[in-house]
Amino acid sequence: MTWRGSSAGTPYSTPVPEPAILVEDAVKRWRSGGEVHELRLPRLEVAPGERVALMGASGSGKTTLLNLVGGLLTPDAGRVVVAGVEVTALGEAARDRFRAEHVGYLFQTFHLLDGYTALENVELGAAFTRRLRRGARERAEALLRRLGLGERLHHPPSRLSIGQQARVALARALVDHPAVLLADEPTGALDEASAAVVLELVLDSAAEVGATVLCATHDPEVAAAFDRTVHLGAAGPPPSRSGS
Amino acid sequence: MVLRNLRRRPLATGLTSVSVALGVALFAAVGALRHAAEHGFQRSAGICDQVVGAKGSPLQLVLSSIYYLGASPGNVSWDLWRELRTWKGVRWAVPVAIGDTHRGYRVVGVSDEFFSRVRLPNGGEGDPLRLAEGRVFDYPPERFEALAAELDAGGDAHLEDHPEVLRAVVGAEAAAGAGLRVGARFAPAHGLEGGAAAERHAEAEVEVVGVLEPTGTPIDRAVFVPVGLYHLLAGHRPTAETATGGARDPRGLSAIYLRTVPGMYQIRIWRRLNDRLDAQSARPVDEVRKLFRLVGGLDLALRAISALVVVVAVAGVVAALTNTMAARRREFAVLRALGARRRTLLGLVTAESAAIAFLGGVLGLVLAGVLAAVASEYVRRNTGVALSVLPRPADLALVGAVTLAGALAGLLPAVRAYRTEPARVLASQL
Repeated sequence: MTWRGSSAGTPYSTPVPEPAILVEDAVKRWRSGGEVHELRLPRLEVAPGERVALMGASGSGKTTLLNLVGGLLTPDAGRVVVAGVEVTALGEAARDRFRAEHVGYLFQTFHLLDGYTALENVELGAAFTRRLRRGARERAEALLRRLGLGERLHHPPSRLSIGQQARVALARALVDHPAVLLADEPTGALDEASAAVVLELVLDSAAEVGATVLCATHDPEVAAAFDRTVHLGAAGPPPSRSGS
Repeated sequence: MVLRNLRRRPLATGLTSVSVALGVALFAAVGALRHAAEHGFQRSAGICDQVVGAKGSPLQLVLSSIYYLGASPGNVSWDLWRELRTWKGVRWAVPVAIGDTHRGYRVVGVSDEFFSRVRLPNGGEGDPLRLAEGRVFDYPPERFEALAAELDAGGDAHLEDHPEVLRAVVGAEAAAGAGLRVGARFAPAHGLEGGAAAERHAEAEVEVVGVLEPTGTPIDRAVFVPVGLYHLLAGHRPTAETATGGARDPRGLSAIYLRTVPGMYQIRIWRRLNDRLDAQSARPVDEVRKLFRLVGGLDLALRAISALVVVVAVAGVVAALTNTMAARRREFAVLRALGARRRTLLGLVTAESAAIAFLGGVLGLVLAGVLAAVASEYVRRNTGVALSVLPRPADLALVGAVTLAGALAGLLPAVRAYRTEPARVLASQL
């Protein structure tokens, strides 16, 4: 199957093949803090537009799973299919291209670049994609304005509050209308009030753009806002499509 | 994106660029000056085919008689000049007497023919000497003998009674520098240096009747008088000891400019003259070429040193960039997460290195232009030779080479960027 675009709701849409995310028999080992960790995931299926929370103890592989879906890592065994593309079958450069076009990342510490303004940071999200390079600036501006940052387009991250930085990071992740939004503890650095606001923004913006959301979190309250929760680690992953 | 990265660290970028610029500037300036100097000096050397003078170093003869630098190796006799005019193959022969200076500008005695015969090489026929204002003097050398006899007889005969011999034609720079416009009068001083200690021949004041157009040669810095005038000034009259003629004869000529028929005649005349015991003939073009070959060794050494400076500077660029690689790990990891390929990061860092080198190269060329302008002005001030230092295609190639070197050298730190493992870097930021 070839990938064709995000789900209905945007001017750039063509239907996403079901499922949006499929992980089968994935195994990944890594070393952290002198210990060897292992992620085993027999099956994970996420429908287009679904919002799924990932929970598990630290070391259970939440971030690793996100990276497998995003194509930043390849599993030691198993396959990963995202929006119809067999990510595990791609070479590294192809995976990079795939990630540029169809995946948006949202990090706990945002990882915005200091030498660039808010607007430029968001534009970077579309810098490596061929598909939607034209109009990136307009989309970036529109997104930032919708997120309430119209006055701060030309401010560098150092001159933005944490909550504002979170919004810029969100805009960067969504600027080229990815099929999948991968969020890694996005509210972890925020205080309670901002966390709630940002979480709502994440879910709403993703829905607007038609992106499927996979969000790693350790906070049950955050997980509660999602359609369902997948548990990793000791509790074991649930069979697909069941409730949390 | 490359430009933005460079602007983020203006001090590092600036310093490394400047260090590259210094090396490039030195390299380019030395090369350009050498070329321009050789060309300029060769142009001046082209006013005649051969210079005849007293036996000695041919280089000294050429330097003193054409560039008015240093003392002449001695004199040759008037008889030789008279003889040369009759030789087959000699197109013209101009007698030259060099000696005094006036306010730092050399006073040179020449015949009228100097102004009509001399051509400055400029392709084809060459450029004649042109007047900016006034006219040339008109006192054929043949008249000097009679005049000399008259004055030697003593009595009431004075030089001032013959205003037609007390005339001067001034080069463009000498006119401007010493305020010698048409109608001005001055008294030539004795000796090589001008200055308060110079003897003044109070009895002889010369009137300026013409000013030449600039030529870009030592002619601009000279004051020309009728050639026999020296011998009529007090202090140049022969005494019993010196009246025998020969190299120390104050009535002798410093040099004779010769224009010959090219080919066999040229060679034959040259040989005949050098075989004589009382004279030598030097070819200005050859002597200048030999001189620049000597200079060439220095030129090569300077260029080698400046090439080394460029190498060191590029190494500095690489070092500076490498230092930032660790700090920029996060930036590279983020870019990879956003979909940048490894190759893109490699290209980014390489481009940054190349950009700094390019900046340095361009800056260096500008600097070289300034250096060359200053140096050529200095040469012009001191010799009258005008150097035209223009940008050459070789300079652009230099910038290209330096940029390429920067790019290649930039591969070293770029490899670090290439090797970024985004997953590990980003996770460790938690």
